Amino acid sequence: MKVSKKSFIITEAVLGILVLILAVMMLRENNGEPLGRVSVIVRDSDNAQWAAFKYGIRMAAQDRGVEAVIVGTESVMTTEEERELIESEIGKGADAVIVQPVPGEGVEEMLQKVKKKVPVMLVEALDSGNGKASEFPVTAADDYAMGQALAREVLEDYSGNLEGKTLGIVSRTTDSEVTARRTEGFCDALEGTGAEVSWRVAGNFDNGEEDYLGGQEKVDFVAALDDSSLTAAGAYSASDGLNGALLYGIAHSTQAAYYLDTGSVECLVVPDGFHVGYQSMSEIADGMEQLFYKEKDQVVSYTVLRRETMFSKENQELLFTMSQ
Amino acid sequence: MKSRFLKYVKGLEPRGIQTTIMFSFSVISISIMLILGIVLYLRFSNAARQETIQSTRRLLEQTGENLEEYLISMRQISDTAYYYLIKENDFSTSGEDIQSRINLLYEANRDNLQSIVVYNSYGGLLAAEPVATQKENLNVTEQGWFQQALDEVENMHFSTPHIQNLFDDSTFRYYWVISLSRAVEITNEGRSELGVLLVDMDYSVMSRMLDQINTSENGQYYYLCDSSGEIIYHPRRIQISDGISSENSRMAAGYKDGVYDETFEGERRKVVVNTISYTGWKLVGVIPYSAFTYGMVNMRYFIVLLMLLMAMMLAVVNRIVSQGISRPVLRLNDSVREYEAGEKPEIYIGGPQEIRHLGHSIQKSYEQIEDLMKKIVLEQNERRKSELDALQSQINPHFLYNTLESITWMVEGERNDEAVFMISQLARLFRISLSKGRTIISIKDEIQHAQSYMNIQKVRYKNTFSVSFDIDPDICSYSTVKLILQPILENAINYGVSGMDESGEICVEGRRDGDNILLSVTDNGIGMSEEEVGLVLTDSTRIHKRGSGVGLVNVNRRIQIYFGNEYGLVIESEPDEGTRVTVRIPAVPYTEEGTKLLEEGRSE
Repeated sequence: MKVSKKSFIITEAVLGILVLILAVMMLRENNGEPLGRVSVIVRDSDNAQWAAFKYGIRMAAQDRGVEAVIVGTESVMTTEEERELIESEIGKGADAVIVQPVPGEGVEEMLQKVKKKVPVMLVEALDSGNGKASEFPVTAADDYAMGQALAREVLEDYSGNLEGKTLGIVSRTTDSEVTARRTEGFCDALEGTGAEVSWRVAGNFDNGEEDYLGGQEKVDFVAALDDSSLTAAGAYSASDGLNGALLYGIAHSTQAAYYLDTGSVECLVVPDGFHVGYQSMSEIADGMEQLFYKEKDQVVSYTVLRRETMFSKENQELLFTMSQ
Repeated sequence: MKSRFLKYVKGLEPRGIQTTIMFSFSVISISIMLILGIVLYLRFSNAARQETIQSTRRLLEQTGENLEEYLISMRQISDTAYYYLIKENDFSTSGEDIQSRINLLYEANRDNLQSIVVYNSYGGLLAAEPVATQKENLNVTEQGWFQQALDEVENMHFSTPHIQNLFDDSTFRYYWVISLSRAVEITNEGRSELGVLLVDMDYSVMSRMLDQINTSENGQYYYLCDSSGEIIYHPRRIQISDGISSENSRMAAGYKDGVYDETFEGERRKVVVNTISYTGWKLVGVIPYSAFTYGMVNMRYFIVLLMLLMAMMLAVVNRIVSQGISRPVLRLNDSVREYEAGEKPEIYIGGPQEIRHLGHSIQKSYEQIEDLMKKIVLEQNERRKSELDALQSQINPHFLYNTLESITWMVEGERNDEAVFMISQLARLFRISLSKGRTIISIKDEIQHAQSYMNIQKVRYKNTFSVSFDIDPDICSYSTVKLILQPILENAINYGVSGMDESGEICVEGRRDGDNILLSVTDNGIGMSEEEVGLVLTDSTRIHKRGSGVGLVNVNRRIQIYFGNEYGLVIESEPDEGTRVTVRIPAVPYTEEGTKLLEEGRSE
């Protein structure tokens, strides 16, 4: 074959390949597909407590060009139900999942299996059961620090003197890592102050606060360690069911803020739900964009809200995200 | 470095005509295509950019008008409430009536409103719609909208978005509102006093209005800020307040209406500003420069794709054109190569007229070269043959035998002087015949050789003929081919005067005739007919009956080989009258250099 003919064929072949590559690139551009689809699975996803979180998810998805799907869930979910939901979402084309792990055994193993298929981001710490941190990336506020912050606020109200004071602790569960860490932080901060824990109550309060709190011994103050328990205790306190006990808590819903506003709650420690949603989605998006990216833990801030300061400019922004 | 580059460039130089044509065509066409493509793209992108800016301006103006209409409607509500309800009535006597009419006003505009409230100057609630319980321990006098209203009583004041902190409606909700507040004159128990009328606009109405225009995916967005740069609406409002993102709103607040170029956080962008009347709010459209090219990525791909396809097509067309042009040249070249390789003697003649002509010329040239080559070969052969003949004449054994026998007789007859004479003549004859192997000798030597030869022959023929030499001495220093006279003299003796009884005469003459030299041998022998004269120089196959066998044809050929065809022998003869053979040669001086040139066959 002549050199000129060979050169001609090579030139045409190279140009043809370039045309094909460009055509593929054009088609991909035309599709305008999002970066990927991320499913968000949290318990009782329609509850107002997730408003800021979901707003953060939406904003991050918009900023990063990701399709976010918030899966509708019930307030109570077993490990098996959560697994089925995740599998179902993966089956529908989810490229990653953001999950609030349900308390209980077998969750880590279930999530391990999921992780082999798609990246997983948790929005609540997972109890690994062996005292070690789980290997899943978590985006959440520091539960221990929030527990401590809550205790500091109590101490501040009592001028640092809790000698002879009694307290009750309310939480949704006792077996979750979140509750455990918050309790630990709270109790550690109160250690040596003379305060005595009179009772601890755990429940989902779906059947009414009266069942859980009605028969409890009178205490000086009550610490509610999560949003569900605080709103339940707040409602009970509003009807003066707490026998004059002051209510403190960790929560992130407008209902909790309302109880603070109306004086049923003395102080709120509010984890930044917007940031939990935004950061978790951003981290997942980073993982989807970069081939060898390993999602990392993200610690978000929390805010201490008092009735007097809850309408300050900064706190109004916090309430704005909670109202979405 | 430079030389390496030059080497590289030289290495790139196309070698074949087809490659050259194709390369040139391709470079020109691709250059034109690139220039055209770039110019078109630039013009298109510039037009698109202008269009984007213009459409942004139009959209801003339209949205600004919508916002103004909304704000005007809010002000109208405020005006209606104030001038037709509050100012006209006494709260102590017409409180319920005022409340119901405010209710009507609220209901008519409830889609855009959060609430309408009237306070006295101490923060006491006089009327509110929708009816709700005011929060306990609430001090509205500390709220910004209240203070603004009383600070500047003549104006209406629009606040930035905030959470309405007035009522407890037990819905656990916090409403995001923009407050329109103004100082109002209220009448209570007949006394006129100052109060504050608050119209809380639902922020979501304005937010939705601006959300509708913030749908672009190219990074372009719109936001609203007040005259101090405080953000009222921004699609990334929370990200900005949380420090995740930022906005150059302080700068934009200082801009007048128009289009501005700015660089914010390393990003170049166009900012289109439109001021909302009365409020002084700025509706700002931000177009990052990347947005101008966002929609054009596909256009870029398309143009590049088009150019690649055109390049492919051009390569094909260029190849066809270059092949069309170069094929006849290449075929001509191939046929010449084949000819040179000795494969095919035919030269390609085809293609356009010029190539055809070139083919013809080459064909003709090759034919001429071939003829010349044949001629040269023939000449060389003849030359060799004539040289051989001349050599043969030098040592004609018959002549030598006769001469030596004559000498022997002389010695036996004790005619020693004659013998000595014969031997000396023979020696001279051979000396000149040999001439150190040279072919070109001087005319003097040739004459000498002829004299020696004739002296020997005269003895042999017992002086039956006489010989005379009439040579112009001037010609003796010119050159001649050796041994040209001997064959002529031999012929003159053998065919002319040998049969005559002592009356034969042979005359050898030599003279110059212009640039030529003429040597002639004239005898008075039996002569030849005209027909025979014609054959002497043309019929080389004639058998020589007598003599050395070296005919006049050979002499004539040798002269022509060395001096050219215009020279040679001229024979004139008349039967019974005699024959004259004239040798015509050029007058070439006998020098070392001239001899050498003639020996090599170059007479000029």
